[in-house]
Amino acid sequence: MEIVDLTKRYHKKNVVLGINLHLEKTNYGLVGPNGAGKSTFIRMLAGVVQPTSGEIIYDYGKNIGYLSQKFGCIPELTVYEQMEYFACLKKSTNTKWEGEINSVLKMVNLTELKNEKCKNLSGGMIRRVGIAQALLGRPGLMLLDEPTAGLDPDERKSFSDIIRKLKGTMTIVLSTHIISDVKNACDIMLVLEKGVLVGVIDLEKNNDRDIEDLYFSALHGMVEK
Amino acid sequence: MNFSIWKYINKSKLLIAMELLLFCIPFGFALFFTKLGMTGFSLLHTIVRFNFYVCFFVVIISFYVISSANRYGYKEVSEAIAGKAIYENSALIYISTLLFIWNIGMCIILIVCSNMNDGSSFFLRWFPLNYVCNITIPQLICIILTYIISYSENASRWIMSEIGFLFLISPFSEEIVWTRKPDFPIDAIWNAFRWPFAILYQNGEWSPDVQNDFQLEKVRLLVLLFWIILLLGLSILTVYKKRMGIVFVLCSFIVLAVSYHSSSLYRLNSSWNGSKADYWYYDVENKNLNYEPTETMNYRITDYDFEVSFDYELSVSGDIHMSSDEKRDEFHMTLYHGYNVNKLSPLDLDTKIQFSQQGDDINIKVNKPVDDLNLHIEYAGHHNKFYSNSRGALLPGFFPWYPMVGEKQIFLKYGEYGDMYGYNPYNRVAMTHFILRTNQKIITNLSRVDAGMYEGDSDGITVLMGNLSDCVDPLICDYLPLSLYKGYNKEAFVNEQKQSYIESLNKIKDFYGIDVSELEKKKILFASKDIGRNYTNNFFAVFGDYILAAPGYITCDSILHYLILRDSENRGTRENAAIIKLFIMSNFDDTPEVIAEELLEKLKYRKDNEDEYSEKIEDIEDWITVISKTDRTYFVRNMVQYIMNPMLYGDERDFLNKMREGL
Repeated sequence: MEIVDLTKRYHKKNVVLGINLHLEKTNYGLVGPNGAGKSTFIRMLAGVVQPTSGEIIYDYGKNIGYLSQKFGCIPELTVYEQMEYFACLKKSTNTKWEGEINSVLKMVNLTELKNEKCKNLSGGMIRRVGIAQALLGRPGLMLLDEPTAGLDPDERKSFSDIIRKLKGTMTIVLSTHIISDVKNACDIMLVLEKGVLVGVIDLEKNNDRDIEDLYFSALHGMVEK
Repeated sequence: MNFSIWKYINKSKLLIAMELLLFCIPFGFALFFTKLGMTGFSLLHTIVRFNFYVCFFVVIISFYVISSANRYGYKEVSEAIAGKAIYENSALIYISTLLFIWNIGMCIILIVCSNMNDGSSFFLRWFPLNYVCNITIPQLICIILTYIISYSENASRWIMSEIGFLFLISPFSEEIVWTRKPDFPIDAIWNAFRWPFAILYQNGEWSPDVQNDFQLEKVRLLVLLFWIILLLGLSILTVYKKRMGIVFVLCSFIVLAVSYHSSSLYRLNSSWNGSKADYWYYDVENKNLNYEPTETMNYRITDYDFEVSFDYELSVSGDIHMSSDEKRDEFHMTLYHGYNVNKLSPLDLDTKIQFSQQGDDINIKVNKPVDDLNLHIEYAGHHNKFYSNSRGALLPGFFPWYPMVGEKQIFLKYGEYGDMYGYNPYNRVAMTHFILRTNQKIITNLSRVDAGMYEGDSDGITVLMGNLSDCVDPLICDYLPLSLYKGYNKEAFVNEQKQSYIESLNKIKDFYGIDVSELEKKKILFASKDIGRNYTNNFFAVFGDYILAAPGYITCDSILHYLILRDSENRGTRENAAIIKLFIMSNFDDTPEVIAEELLEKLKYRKDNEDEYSEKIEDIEDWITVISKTDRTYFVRNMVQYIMNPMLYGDERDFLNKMREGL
């Protein structure tokens, strides 16, 4: 997947500026201070915000799984019905639904709760529903915007495990402000500051260094892009 | 659009309950009223009146459904999967389909109601446009506005503006009127501000007129069009972020600007310039209601040749020929002040004129004394009660919607008749030749000589248009099909009116001994009851060649009051006669026994409560005694003759003595 000179301007202010990036089938952790443009960048990749300029070239068609920052479910639906709703949007055929939904629910450990009404789920469970829906239809690109915000440590660990298990099956971009989540789940750290991509850090190559050091070095221009 | 997601929209029990209410309550009432025998017109009017509450409910349902994705946080994910506003668009179509079914169901009930209860099939071809403009389009406007607001990221903030919108379209804001003329024209500012929000039928106080449409004037249709274009533009701007939306928004405001065009609208509310406009103008502002008999004119208009068009309002262009018994250089004409003379010029090259229009008076000054004057006149305007637009016209011959020679009194106060007000039904022109051309199908006293051309001699032109049908009958010219109901069809209506006409004339002639030859053998034009509504003595008028009446008002009572009140010379005498002022309030359709008994009751009450009245009735005891002992028929007949001609007996005491002699 290729991102060419991607820019977003709101009210004459550059929120994202000239990002050029090539994405492989691996897990990317997108980090940066508040207001760095992480969500805008992710939302542009998801297609819900139109870039002011630049281009996104999807190698595998626009088959995207997306979990938004404020993801929620329809309270009256069961987990299974909520998955059916997203499957409908993804235009999966009826015959495919059942098996695929069960499969993704199993991946996120929600099989036992599939008949539970969404209004009875905790925040962490809803995040898992969010990941499950993003996985529906075997996307080539999965975008997760602050998926661990508001989760307790156990839920965050469980979440990181799920993401790690998916490594290598698709391109995953995980936006977060919690550096440790990146360490647990991602191979490459993308550092954004004031809309500019200031660091693309291979975590395996730098596994001898503390990830927070890497992050701050990137912010201070001490890491090669 | 993704229709397969509808089943997930409809999972909420609350939504299902609201949907059931949306259908059950209006449909239940509509069916109930149908069963009660309500006509199609009345039922449609009831639905139209309550459409605000349906719209209100529809807004709640729409907001609940359409804002769900935004509210619960699956909007962005849905958009990332399937495109912009995928959920909202599907929800909008879902609500629209729901309303489509609702509207189809309601139309079916209306058709059934009309078939069961109407006396004509007129309603069936009349109602679709009125239905769509008054019910369907306002509902659509409400849901599209809700769609835009629901999509907005600040939906909860914007919902306040929608609440404001609902208030402004509601009958509650319609009720904000100024009953007295304010010093600063705040009312005009408020009315101009509220105008774009008048998307629903406006009838806070004024029930519908069967001759007029349900307010389908051009300007109102333009307001509906404004909202459709505006909301389309806003949808494009807010949902799809396309600049083309700005073009739509700009276009919508152009349409709105046109909708402020001066127009004849039938919206008589209780504001000072609503149903009371002429009371305010003539009585409060001009203090000119003492009816002076028209001076004997020694000049007249002998020919009218008019092109009359009904668009936003009445527009007339034509020629008049004035003839005077002696040469003169000044002429006066009366034209209601709501019509503005744009052009008045001589047709003769060697004649020059100057004219001024002040109030109802048009003053014409000629450069030399003439006994013949040919003029070309163009004027346009409207009256708020006697409407004239492309959907309907109610222009009685006694009302100066066309220039009448001399200074006419347009609005009257009947001092002897409970101080009530009314338009002067006695204004006439000299017997004149009229030619009228119009592009509309009208009902008039003139004969139709060609397509769109009417001609004849008369002392007043009446032009009626709207929900009227011609009647092929030697006596009755037309009828109002929407007022007919089961068992009272066209034939029943014609027979009833004829019978009432004959019986009333016979009673007046035989019982009261009054000459009614001027009323006999005249064709009758029926206009809606609104011709006289809220005013006195305006339901019935006799012209040289026809009678103009509201259905059900060719009665002994209407005719007698018309004849009594016509006698302006004796108005002062009657005003000073307390017994006449009591007696004139009688309903002459009652039997003499009832009329006399009621008068007796009134006199006894006055005697027992004398202190409450500033005006004393002299010899009240004697009146009571005489009426009690006199033959009722004899007394009532003589009393009517007395008020018809007060000078016949001298004064009240003379009349009383005369009655006493008869004992």
